[in-house]
Amino acid sequence: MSTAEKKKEFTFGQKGALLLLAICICVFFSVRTGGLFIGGQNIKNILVSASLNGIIGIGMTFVLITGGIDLSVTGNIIMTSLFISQMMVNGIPWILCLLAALLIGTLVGVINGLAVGKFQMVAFVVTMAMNSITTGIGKLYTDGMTLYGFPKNHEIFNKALFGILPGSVLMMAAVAILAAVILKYTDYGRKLYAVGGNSRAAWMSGIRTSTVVTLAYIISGFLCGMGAILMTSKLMSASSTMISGTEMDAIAAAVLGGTSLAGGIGSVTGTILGAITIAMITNGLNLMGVSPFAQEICKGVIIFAVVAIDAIQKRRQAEN
Amino acid sequence: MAKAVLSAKNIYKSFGSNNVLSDVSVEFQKGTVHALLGVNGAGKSTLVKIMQGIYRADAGSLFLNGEEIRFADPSEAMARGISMVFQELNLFGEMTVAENIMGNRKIKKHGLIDWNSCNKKAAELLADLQIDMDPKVQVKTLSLARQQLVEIAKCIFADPEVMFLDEPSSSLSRAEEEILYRLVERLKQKGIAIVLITHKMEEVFRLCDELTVLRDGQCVARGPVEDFSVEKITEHMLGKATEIFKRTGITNGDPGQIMMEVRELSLDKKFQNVNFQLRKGEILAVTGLVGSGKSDLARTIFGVHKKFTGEIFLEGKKIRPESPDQASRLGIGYVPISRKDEGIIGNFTAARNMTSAMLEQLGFFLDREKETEIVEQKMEEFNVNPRNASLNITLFSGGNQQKVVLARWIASGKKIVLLDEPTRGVDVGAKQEIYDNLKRLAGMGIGILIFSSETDELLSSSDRILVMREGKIVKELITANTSSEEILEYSISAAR
Repeated sequence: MSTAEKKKEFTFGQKGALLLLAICICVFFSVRTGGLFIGGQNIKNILVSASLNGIIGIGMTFVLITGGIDLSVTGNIIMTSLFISQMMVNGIPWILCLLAALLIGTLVGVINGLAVGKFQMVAFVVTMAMNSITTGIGKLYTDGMTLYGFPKNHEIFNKALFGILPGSVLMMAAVAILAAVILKYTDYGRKLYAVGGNSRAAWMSGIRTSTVVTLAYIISGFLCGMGAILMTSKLMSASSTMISGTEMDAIAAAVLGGTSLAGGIGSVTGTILGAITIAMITNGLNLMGVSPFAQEICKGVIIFAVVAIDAIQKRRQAEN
Repeated sequence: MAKAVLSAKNIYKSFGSNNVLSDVSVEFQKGTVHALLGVNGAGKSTLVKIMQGIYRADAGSLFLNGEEIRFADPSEAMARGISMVFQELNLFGEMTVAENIMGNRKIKKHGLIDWNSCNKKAAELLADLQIDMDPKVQVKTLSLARQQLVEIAKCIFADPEVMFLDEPSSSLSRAEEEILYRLVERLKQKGIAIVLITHKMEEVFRLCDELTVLRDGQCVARGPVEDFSVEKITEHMLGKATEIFKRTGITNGDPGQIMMEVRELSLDKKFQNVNFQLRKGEILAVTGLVGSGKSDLARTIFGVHKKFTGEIFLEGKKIRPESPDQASRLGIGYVPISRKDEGIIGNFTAARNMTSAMLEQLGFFLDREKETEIVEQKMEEFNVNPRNASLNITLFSGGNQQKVVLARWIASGKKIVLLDEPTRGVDVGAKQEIYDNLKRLAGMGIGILIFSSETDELLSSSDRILVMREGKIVKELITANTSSEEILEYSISAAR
């Protein structure tokens, strides 16, 4: 019995493993860059580059908790960005353009959600198809051109608000707090975990599982709309190649943070921590002047390692 | 005395602070059937899992043919001749009987699978076991009982010395049980040591030579079956002399107050023109063999099958539940037959499982104080053990999981609760507790409708019994004036 207790002390969960890793990375880069990494401006840079991934990752977390996946986020952001860019270029009132972004993003989420939640289609295929459709519509609509010339206001999301923190970071924080409250304290959050844990049993206990699942994709879509606003604000332009692989980064952030691809497990804090860790790795390696190709390898190895640590811990627990 | 094939000596095992096994020793002999008995939570499955190489014992040793062994994992145990037939079958429905039996030991010629030899070999094995079956049919086309025979044949193909059977007859009909029993006797003749984990006393006396009873992780009785009686075994299992299945206080309910009425209810080919009334205060049971339509009837009332015809009245008001959430909103709860697949939410604690049907009542922002209060009260009321609702539900025994699923509907204030095979895989002690709970709930005015094929259960828990056969209600019996023979007779008489 005492050995069991002792062993328990050594298990700190995936979030703990990630936190430890994040601290190690921090120390490592700080030493290697002579303190440049830990400087105020660089921390700001890291948070800014984590913000888009964090926001999309939170939507992804909701979807992953249901046991699904949303591979349409890249296409959704591109299409939405191009639509609102064209609107801004055409002189439509700025605020309407922002609302349109949220609306278009949400709409894509509604289609994904109904297909997966209501019509029981396979999430992987539905959202993969949706990614292709939305990217294609974006390209067709703009004929592959780059759009620019947005109203000056639009830069606001990339500027430091209230003196210190950039708008995108504040947005990530707001989304994170709201999402964490929803997951932890509302009946919707509880139902989300129930559906992910055992969809059939959840349905049999009177939970409207199709609505719960549909809503998860709608949230992911809505956050893509938000992502489109952030990206266009950051680049002050839009093109069909403005981003790529966003869905993989979002999944990586969520999985690093302990979200299970099998559903039923996941948290906002984990995902945010995951997004920041990924941003730290990219940023630190950049500062050290490591080639971007080597960076990709590094990112992959670290994700692999964190998930491996978690798997080893789970195995040890199962043996006890 | 014959030498034991497999034995365990002084096994200890604990999970955290929970001592599951302490100083347990067992011996299984060649060519005998050994019953491993105990209420749920007594430590049977932990003991078996240690002998399977799934868990490692904290202390103690295992011996195979006199040699001390230590299994690194289940596949090693299997390779050493220890096999297990689980309650849930492990078959590939799309594959043929032969493919399932051969597994990954298929016969090969020039590196490719030689299907003719495989089928021939499987046919020989089936013939040897006196199972009349075509090795080339797809497993999914077979009945559950015949699938179980395939599972056993699969284990035999690995040429085991010891075979564990975990409640092999729990989902079989009477006639199917007979086939299984004959096969067990045949295996015994072949010299295999068989360990039967069961709750059915009938099986113990009919099939077994020796028995071991576990209680609270300790071995409380063992010896030849002839030295025991049902009463004595039950006493050992429960740890106190109790009279089980005593039915007291039969009630007719209040004929003036109808909780639920069903008129001419039909569902496609499953059941037709079902009529009944459930009175306030009584426990109404619906029985019938597998395929009689009783499970579909329960599910239809709970909104699972929406294409039904006919009328359902709840307290005089006509309702038409077309999904479980609608049924739930109307005040109907359902305890499903398959606890693992449809009952419990495995990643949740007992507390969260208990409140999963009442989330709306706790508000958009869940009222956690109220939740804790309700959970604590229900844990007490339903005597859920261990009395710790913050433990994951999968750590509870089957009987206690069932109490949680039942409490789920009571916590959310349902007017009617339907229970499909409420005590399947539940041990004797917890069974009685569930019956007591049902009676208490009926007394409180909650409509209780049991769908069960176990006659003991019907006789000990219900007031009135409706017998279904081939989709129709063929007889209404008053529990006080009937017997298991009569119930069975009406259930099967068409077959004669």
